[in-house]
Amino acid sequence: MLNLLPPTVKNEVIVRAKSANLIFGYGIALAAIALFLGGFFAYNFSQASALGDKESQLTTLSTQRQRVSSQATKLAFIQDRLTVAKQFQEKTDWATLLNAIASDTPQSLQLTDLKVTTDATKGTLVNITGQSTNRRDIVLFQEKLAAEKTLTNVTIQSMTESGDSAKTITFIIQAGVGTH
Amino acid sequence: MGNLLKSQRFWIATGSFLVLAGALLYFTFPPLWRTFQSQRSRLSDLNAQISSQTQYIATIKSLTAQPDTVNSLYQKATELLPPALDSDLLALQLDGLLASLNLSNLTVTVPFAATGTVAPSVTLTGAASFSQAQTLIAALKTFGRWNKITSIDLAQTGQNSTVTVSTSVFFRAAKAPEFSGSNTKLLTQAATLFKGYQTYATAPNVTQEGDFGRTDPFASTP
Repeated sequence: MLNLLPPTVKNEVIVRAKSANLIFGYGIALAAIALFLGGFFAYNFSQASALGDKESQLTTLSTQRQRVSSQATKLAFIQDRLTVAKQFQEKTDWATLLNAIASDTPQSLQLTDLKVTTDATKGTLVNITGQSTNRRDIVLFQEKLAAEKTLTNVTIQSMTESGDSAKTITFIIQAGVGTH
Repeated sequence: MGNLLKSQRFWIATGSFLVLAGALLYFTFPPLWRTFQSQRSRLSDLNAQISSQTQYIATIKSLTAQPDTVNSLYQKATELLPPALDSDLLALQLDGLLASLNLSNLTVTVPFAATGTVAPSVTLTGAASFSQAQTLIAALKTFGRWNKITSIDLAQTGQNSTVTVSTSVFFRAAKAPEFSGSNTKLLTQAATLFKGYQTYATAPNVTQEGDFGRTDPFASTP
């Protein structure tokens, strides 16, 4: 079959056909873009509805939370006391310390005073006053006390011998108190 | 292709497509994207809040399943560290402590006012042997009101031994604490901590105790 169309007309026909295809493609592309945007809009719309549901769920939970608030107040109070317990509890085991001092006291010594004081700079101090006729036992007592883990810097502050015939020696021992 | 580029229809179609597509995307996509982002962020925030609230309520419901335990631990916590000085109950507790140790002869001084941040001191003084003093001091460690001994004086004069113990008593003003809702073992931990402390008196209940009404309140007591 012979194509008798002149080349210009033939080209025109081809260009028109290609243009038509291209326009169709553009149309499809525009439709796809519009579809994508429409889908996006629909998704956002559905999310807005989900948000509404979630907000209503949260309101319900807040109401429930209000209902249990009196119990929560009690629990909060208990929780607070648990948190601060260490700050307010006694740390030193005084009874054990007194027991240790009694165990460390030689038979020849009599304690006449035991004072525990709290000093802002020196910390907690224990001053032990007693009497004995045996100077060596007083030193042994000091050394025995120095071996106690709860006591620190155990020192003899004074040893005063009485002028009478009994030759009683009054001593004072001072020690720091740790929290072991 | 060369012929197509020379075509006016091609350029009009391409130009129209680009303008339309560009306009559509330029004007429509950014607000959609912003809405999407903000909704996603809000949804994530709401989900976190819902999860946290659900867990909080579940924890409270689980912890308060035995209300008697909660009430008892709350009472114990209040006794150990009350929100106010609460000297009345403290004095009754100390009376109970001394009675239980047969040391009712000791003189008790209870503070009825607190100044500043200094914890007021309770003083217990009187005749007591060394072993009684030891027992008293040990009992103060487990006393049902948190306290810290500030001074001890054990003195022996001849046959008489005396003890003076001063101890700081604490209170903690209520700061409306908020329950975290995360500690599911709170009551077990509290029970373990509180069980070592002994209560020696209950709070007076004016509706259920007391013998009231005297004709002459100035007359000596019967």
